Amino acid sequence: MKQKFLSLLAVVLFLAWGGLIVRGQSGRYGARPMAPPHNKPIIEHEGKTLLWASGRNRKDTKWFDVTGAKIDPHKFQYGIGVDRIPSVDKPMFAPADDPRFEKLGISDSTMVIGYADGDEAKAYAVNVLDRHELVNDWFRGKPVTVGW
Amino acid sequence: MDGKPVVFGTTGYTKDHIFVLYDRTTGSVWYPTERESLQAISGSKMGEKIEFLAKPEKMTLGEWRALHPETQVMLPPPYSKVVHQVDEFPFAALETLDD
Repeated sequence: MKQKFLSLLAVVLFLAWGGLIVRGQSGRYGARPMAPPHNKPIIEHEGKTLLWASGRNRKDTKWFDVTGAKIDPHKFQYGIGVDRIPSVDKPMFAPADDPRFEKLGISDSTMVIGYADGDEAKAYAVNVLDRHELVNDWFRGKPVTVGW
Repeated sequence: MDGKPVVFGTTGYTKDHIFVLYDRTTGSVWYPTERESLQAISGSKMGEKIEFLAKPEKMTLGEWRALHPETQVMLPPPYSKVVHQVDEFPFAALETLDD
C-alpha cells in the first residue's frame, strides 16, 4: 500500500537545515524572534472544529476542517490567509542558456535549489522560492513538491 | 490518490517557523511532525505520511550546471503559473453558518 501511495502522491523536498523555514525569521537578531500567535477564529460548527482559512465576514469565510487534528490549531502562528503565499502550480522550465533568464535576473551566480532524478535535473531560483514557498512539479512522471 | 497527484498549498499559518500546508484535493492540513516526513494532521487524509526525498542542494546556478550540464531551470512567474488565489480552495464556505 505504501508503494502505491508514494507513486501517486507528491513527495516533498526540504532544505538541509530542516523543514520549511519562514524567510526573514532567522539570523538578524541572533535568536529567532517569536512569531505572534494567530488571532484567527477557531469555531465549532455542527460537530466539526473549523479553522479560519480566508475571508472577512461569515458569508465569504472559508475554513479548514481541523476536527480532531493531531496538532492543536491554537498553536499555529500568523494566519495571513490561505494561498496568500501562492504556490507555483504549473512550473515552466528552459535550458540555462535561454535568453529570457538574463532579463529575469537569473544567471550563473544566482542561488538555486537543485534536484535531480536520473537524467532529469532542475534548478529553482531561491528568490522565487522565497516568494512562493512551494513548487508542485514532476520528476520522471511522479509528482514532487519542492518546499522551501 | 485516485490517480491524481496531491497538490500542496500554504494555509497561511506557520508553527514554530515552519509553514503549515494543505492539499487542494481534500483540504487536509499537513505539517512535518517528524524530520523525515510530512504528515496530514487533519482532514480525510489525517495520519498519512509522505517521506521527504533526499535533501535538495543549494548552490549557485553555475555550480549546479557543472554537475548537471543539461539542467532545466524554472522560469519565474508569470511564465510559471501560480495558484489561483482561493478560487481553487476545496473547502467551500458553509452556507448554514449564521452570523
